[in-house]
Amino acid sequence: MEILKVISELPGVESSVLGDADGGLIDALDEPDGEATAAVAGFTTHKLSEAGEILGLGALESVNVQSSRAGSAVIHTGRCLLTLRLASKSPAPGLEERVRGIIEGSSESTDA
Amino acid sequence: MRDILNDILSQAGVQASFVFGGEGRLMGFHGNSIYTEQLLSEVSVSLSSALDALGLIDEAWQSATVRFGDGFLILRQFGDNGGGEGGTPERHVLAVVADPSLNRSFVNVALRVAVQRLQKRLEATDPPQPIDTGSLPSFPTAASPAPAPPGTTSSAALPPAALAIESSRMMPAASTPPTLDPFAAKLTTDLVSPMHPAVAASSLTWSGSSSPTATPIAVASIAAQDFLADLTEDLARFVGPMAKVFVKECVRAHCMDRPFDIHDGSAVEEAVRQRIEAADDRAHFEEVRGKTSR
Repeated sequence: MEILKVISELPGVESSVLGDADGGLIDALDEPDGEATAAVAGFTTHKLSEAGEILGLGALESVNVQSSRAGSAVIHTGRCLLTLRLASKSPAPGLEERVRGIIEGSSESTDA
Repeated sequence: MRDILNDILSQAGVQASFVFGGEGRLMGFHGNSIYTEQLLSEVSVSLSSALDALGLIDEAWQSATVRFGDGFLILRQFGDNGGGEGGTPERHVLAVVADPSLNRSFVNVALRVAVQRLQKRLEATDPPQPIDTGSLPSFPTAASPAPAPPGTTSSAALPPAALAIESSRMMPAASTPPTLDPFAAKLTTDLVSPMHPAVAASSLTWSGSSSPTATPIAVASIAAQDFLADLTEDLARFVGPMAKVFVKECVRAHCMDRPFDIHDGSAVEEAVRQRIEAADDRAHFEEVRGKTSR
């Protein structure tokens, strides 16, 4: 998918997986087990959304995860979940906004 | 533990902080009194499931920041000290609930300090024991309310109305006797209950959130929708992101299975007002609503 190629060229992005909210894999780039990643992203965001709903925090927008070595991010975009593995612990400044811009631009051109 | 959690709570935008262990067992909490032990226990179970799954793709995860439309959840893992069942390592998680005014840089520093302190206390426990909120005098639960400070009246001796006024916004949630908070007991079951068919059949709804998981309530008109949105916004000044949960709960209690109509507004507004614990905040809310409705 063209969109994942564009996203993977953003600074600090090592791999990307696009899945649906139910954990189904749509596409993956540079990720050896995209299916498992999409499933985990779907389940994790579902459970986090449950917690957020109980706490009255509204709709889940993104999850940034830091580990001792690197980081990852899950971005909720419409009905899809985009999981990014990052080269550093934290996402580069403005990464989420740039990703959203790319996805919105892509859906607008698809609509047109 | 309460002193550690209290330091986090002093950060701008932080509404509550809590610690949970394996399988989502709530170990301690401190925050605005709307965050009850029952509510945070429910949240801890959901978060624990989410984090277990997260470990499948990144087992070395240390912290996670979850951004929602109306706030943040920040999670930090600590304490693999062999305190789990059968001496196996047990994960502990420090969680923070915050509104959008949160200063993430400041709170990250506060969390790092807090995790270090929690870790030290955990390691000092020999043999490793799970922290029992009921047994810590500094961490009262509903089952064992905090002893009243010298010179003050014990909460248990006060009538419910006086107790509601006495309750400060920052008191430990669980020290509120369960009889004072029947809504909290019902809240979690209501949130997961399927919508009543009569409600589901209505075409207009209001959820107060763009979340696909939000359970909407039926409304009779656009004016009714707007009323609930305004009411939630005004209430949020006093109770934070829980405002929409309170409003939904009050609408459900008042309207039962029928859609909310603008004529129900004053009754729902009064019910919502009662959810504000501090008397001066209730008065301020009335003032705000008076200005809104003029």
